[in-house]
Amino acid sequence: MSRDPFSMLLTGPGTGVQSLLDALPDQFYIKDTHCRFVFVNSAIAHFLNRPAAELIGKTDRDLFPHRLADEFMAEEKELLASGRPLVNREVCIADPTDKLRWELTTKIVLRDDGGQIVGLLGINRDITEHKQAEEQLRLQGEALVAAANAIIITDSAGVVRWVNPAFTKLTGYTADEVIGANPRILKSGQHDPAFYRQMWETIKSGQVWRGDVVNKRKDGSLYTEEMIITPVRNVGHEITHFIAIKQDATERKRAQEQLQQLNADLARSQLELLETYENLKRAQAELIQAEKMEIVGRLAAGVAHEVRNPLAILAMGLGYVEGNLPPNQPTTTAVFETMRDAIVRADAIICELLDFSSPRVLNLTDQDVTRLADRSLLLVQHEVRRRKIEIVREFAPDLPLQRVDRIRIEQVFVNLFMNAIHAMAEGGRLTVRTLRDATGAVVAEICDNGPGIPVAHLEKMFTPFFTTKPVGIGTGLGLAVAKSILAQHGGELTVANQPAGGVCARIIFHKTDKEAGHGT
Amino acid sequence: MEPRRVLVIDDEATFTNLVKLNLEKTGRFAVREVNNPTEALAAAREFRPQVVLLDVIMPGRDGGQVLAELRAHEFTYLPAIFVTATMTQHGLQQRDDQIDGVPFIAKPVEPKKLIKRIEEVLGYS
Repeated sequence: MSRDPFSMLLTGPGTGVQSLLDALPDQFYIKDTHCRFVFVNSAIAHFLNRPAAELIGKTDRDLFPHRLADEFMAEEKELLASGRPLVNREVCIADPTDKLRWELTTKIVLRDDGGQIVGLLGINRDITEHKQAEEQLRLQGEALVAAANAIIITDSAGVVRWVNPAFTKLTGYTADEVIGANPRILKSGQHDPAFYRQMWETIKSGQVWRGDVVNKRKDGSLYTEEMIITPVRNVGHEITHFIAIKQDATERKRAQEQLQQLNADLARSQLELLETYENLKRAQAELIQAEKMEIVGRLAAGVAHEVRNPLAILAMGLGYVEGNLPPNQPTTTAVFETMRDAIVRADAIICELLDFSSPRVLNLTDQDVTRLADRSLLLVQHEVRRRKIEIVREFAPDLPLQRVDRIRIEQVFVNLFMNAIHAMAEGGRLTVRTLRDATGAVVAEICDNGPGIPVAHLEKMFTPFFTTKPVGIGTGLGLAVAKSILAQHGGELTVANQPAGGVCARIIFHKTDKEAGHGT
Repeated sequence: MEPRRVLVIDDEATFTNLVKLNLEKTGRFAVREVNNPTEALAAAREFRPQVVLLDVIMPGRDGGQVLAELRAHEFTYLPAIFVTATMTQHGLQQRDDQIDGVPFIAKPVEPKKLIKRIEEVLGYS
């Protein structure tokens, strides 16, 4: 009589075989030829969340969604019919909490002594975590392949084991051409041996290496890459591989260089723009000034004419009436003097205005500046004596002759002398110097030891009509006229406070080409 | 000595009048005034001056034109002095108080100075 193989096994709970099977983490079950559970271990009962006893006699249809159950049962029917074992099939099912689990299923047929199939035996192993890990790895693999960055994986000796398609795109070498070779095939020759040695030592010591490298493609062209090399360790913490991730930096470098260039260009343009702007501003100011001058000039000529005619009448009239005065009337005489002075003053103002605003025609002759300075001193000797000013002359002999308008330059000297004299109200020293400066230009200096010019006035000094003198003494055109006369001569007039006190006015006659030719 | 005959040509009558008063007061001059420059030639022919004083800027004709007209006719060698409001004394100094040989004097001018200049031009002072 064939012995029921189940009876061998089914010796009841708690007995030897049962407890062994219950100890297994894998699910273990036996079904009859109708696919009904005949035996289950505690793992499967636990999985299906039912007491073991309840499962006996049930089929998959009672436990799983029908479509799935039909699949299983079809499979089992096939197994029972053919006797062919089903080994290590991966199945994905939902557990009673609806969580998806992966199972590795093996099913074999059970035969009696006569070889008749009497049932099947199944073992399910939960491989969910395994599967998830597998899935992870697969994803990672896909990522490496798909990555836009070129990736090389070498072994610990530096031999290439794997490259991704991006590597081929970057370097031109296919995977076949580099696997088994050393990455030094990419060497460009742009780095010295010390560079590569340092790279190797860094990663060999387990550290990450980062840097820019210039490499050579298969076609010989050079490119720059940013590379990070990371050592990979095994569970024993030994370095087994290196992963190098590359980024083509050629474009970035070029863009960076372009940007720097653009920045430099921009900075330069900006400077040029500023300069142009300053020039334009200055030109505009000069134009406005010239226009003003023209208007003032025309105005001045008209005013001069209109004002001086009545002044002429006054002068003539005064002269006549004065002659008819009875003698010995000092007050009346004094009054006439005052009136005469007033006419002179009015005329002086008109003259200065005319002088300042009319275009000047220079009458140029060769002159010795020392002599001009000396002559001009004569013109102010009355004022000098009146205010008890001491004169110091420091004249250079044999100065090269300057082509100047004698009268105009004397006008400048007289103006500067008068300024100096007026600055020394209580007396003082007027120093007049002629010399040649370091560039060989002829210079005249007029210095006083008065109180100096207040800082607030320094800027306005040369402005027409700016005067610090009391009303009636200066019109404020003196320095402006003097400066413009010098400018007309191609020279310069500067006025500055001296550190030791007082003021020095400096007239510079710049060298002309003609003069340079004369020899010195 | 006979008074010198001075012809004064200036559109400003007040001025010419005062010149006449001042010059004739000295007893040494006889003055004829012309306020319309177009009448200058006729006046000169009538008065036969020994020196002519001319303003420069006048409506219609300037002093230069008037003098040119006089010179073009019988008054070729008549001494002349321009008396002008538009030149500065400084400007005149630059030109030694004359332009193209014609003496200038700037307005306003004191009678004494004017007289001195006239006598200089006439050849004595």
